[in-house]
Amino acid sequence: MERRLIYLIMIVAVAIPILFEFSWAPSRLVSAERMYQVIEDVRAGEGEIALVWLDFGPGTIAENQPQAEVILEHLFRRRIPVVVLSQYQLAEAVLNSIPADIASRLEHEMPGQSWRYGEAWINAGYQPGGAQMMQNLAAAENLSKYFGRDVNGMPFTHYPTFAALGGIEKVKLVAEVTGLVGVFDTIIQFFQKSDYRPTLVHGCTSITIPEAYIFLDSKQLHGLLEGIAGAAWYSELLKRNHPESQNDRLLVRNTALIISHLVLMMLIVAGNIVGFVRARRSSDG
Amino acid sequence: MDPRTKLIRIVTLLGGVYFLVYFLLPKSVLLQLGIQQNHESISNGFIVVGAMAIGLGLINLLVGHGAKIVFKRAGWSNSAALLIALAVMFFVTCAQWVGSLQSSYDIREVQLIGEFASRIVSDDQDASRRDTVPSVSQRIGALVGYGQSKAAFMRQMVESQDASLDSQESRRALLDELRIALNEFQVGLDGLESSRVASLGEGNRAVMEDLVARATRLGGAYSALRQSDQTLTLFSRLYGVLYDGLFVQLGAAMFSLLGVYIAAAAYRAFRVKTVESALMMSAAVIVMLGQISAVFLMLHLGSFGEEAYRFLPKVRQWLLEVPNSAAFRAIRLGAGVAGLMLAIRMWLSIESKSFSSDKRG
Repeated sequence: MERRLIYLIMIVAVAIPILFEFSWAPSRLVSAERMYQVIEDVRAGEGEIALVWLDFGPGTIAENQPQAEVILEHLFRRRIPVVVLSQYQLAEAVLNSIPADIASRLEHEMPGQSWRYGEAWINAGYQPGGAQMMQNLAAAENLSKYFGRDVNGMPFTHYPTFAALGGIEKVKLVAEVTGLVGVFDTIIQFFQKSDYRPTLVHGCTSITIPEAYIFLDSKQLHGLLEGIAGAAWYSELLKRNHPESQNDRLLVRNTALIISHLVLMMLIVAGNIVGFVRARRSSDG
Repeated sequence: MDPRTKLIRIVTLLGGVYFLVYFLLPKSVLLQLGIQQNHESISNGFIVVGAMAIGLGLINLLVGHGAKIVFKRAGWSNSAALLIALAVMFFVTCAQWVGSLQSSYDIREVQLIGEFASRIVSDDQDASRRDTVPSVSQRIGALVGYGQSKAAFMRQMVESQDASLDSQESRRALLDELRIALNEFQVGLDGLESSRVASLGEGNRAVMEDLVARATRLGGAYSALRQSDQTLTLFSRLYGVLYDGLFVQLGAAMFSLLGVYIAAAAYRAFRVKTVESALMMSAAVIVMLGQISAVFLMLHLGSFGEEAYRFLPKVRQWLLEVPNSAAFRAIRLGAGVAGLMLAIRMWLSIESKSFSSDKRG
């Protein structure tokens, strides 16, 4: 009975903001601010790109999708050409839908401007091979040739923006969003050369935050989005600089998370009080 | 040791030796040995071998669950559901992919017009290429012919879609954009055809550059319409229903259970009984409060709320960056050493008992 009541409390706590669509301001997260600044400082010249790994599927879509959205929105706004790809086979659907949705939203927001497939971004699809593939990618002298074809089977060389990408030195930013363990490490370990290591930012689920912090501390990672809270603060920064940016839905999700955190803390306190009272009773008895 | 076991062990050892040698030897030696030049192909070969696991998994599923269905073993209906879902998803995904591939090729054919026109201009400016390609008049003739055939095809498509178009505003806008781009392109193409360009002087080059701009716009408009069409095909919709409507939701539902389990665990297991558990609980509460510190501002707690808003994220950051990082580094170092040992054991086939006939025997 006790357990069922806890389940009910949690479900109601998460459901209320989503059903009534109300939101609270997100909390400031230093790691997300750093990441915003890192992407803001990226200077991509001709033939230079950002690689965005979307290594997530249905399981962590609730946390990772908002992160992928804010990163791509920022890169699109800055007109940095993006190659989206994944080490996770179940990411195929998000590789197609997220950049297209962001492009469509930006086009709606700014009539007359366009973000088109093949110009603003290209989808290199699922890349099998893990560490081996990552080493080959880092060693490739021509990334367009390495990828060969996009997810639709069209050669990279057919898209002028991505026709002659050059080697790893042309990758000005690597962004990786995942909830999986061991996927992000592959990039840190192998996507580099002895004389070049691209700027790396990462979006992770709440569970993997502690692991990501060791790379943030060692400066191998230049920016971090911590779960939905990180994405919410990032979207707030985007909104401050681009007031027309839409982040209402994300803030509603973040509010559900804030309330669930409060409930969780109340449950910890309640659990301790109940435990203390029971212990007293049993010692008295 | 049977020959199969021997072969597996030899291949495993050689695979390991290859990567060890590649890592240790300097690049100049690798080049001399011809390894560097072929490394990408060799490692792609290893990736292909790894990718075969997908096929192997598929066969395994079919054999395992197929046998269950054929012999009506316990839970055969679940196996049938799995195999039917597999077959349906496989078919729909393939059909959707083929449709999208066709759409991409059609788009590409239109985009080629602008690129070809642009190439004619650039080749004419490059003295080294000018003599290696057909004459300007020949190439422009081919460009006009190809452009006219594509324009006719698109005009036919616009007219047929116009007649059958429903009230979708966004699709009508895309169709209107294509119609305008098509008319502009036709004007440019007719101008080029009537001027009978034999060489590219200043004036003619301007005409060609104008055509490039018109063709690029046409390519963009056609691409937008076809991509929009692609999302409306039967297989794209079916894929959306199966993947977004079913698979994503089921996956998210599975993960959402974690939230309620954590809540129950917080209540039942997070009890302060020792100094260590008190420290752990304090750290957890501070990290959570640091993540939702804006709540203190909303509660209108005056200067206390403002201080908490400023102070808690800093403490959270310190907890994650210092004690947490120290502990995690130790864990990862330990795991790394263990991983290395396991890799060496696998390389030397000490771990591969499952391939050995001794075990089976």
